[in-house]
Amino acid sequence: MDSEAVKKEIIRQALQATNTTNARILIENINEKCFERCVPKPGSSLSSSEQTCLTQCMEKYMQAWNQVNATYIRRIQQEMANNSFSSSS
Amino acid sequence: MEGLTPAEQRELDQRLQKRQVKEFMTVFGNLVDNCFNACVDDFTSKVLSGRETGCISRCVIKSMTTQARLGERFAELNAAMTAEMQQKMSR
Repeated sequence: MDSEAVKKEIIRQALQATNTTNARILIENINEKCFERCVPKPGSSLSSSEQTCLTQCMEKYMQAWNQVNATYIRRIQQEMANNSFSSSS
Repeated sequence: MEGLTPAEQRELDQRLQKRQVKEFMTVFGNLVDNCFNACVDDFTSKVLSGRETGCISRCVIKSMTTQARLGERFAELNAAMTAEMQQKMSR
């Protein structure tokens, strides 16, 4: 394998590892958070309103995750742009 | 570290990297958690409202700025402590 292919393979594996860790942590947090918020008094089964709440909570949490991701990346890019700007002046 | 074969060095680098990735993901997860707690309280809708979205953006930026500043202060304190210790030892 030439070096380009090796590099691509390494990047692919790194992304995969990140995504898997991402997903695992995401699910753990969603579980904990949404149960906390939506099922204040656990009964022997989930009522339909609790189920709805859990679904909406999960949707919103994932959207929040994406929002955090986007904001974080935007901010890092800003900082990098600022740094390169100030070092060249 | 001397005495490590190239293979062992690679293994070490890999493990350090994995740990770094894990750490970063944990920090990121906590960030999402905190901002979700602070900003999202309305579960009658499936979609983040504009208010919640804006709140999350500001929350992320504030957290990042706080972390950066804490890092700077910590480095300053560390340097001060190290300098003080060196002074004491050279007396």
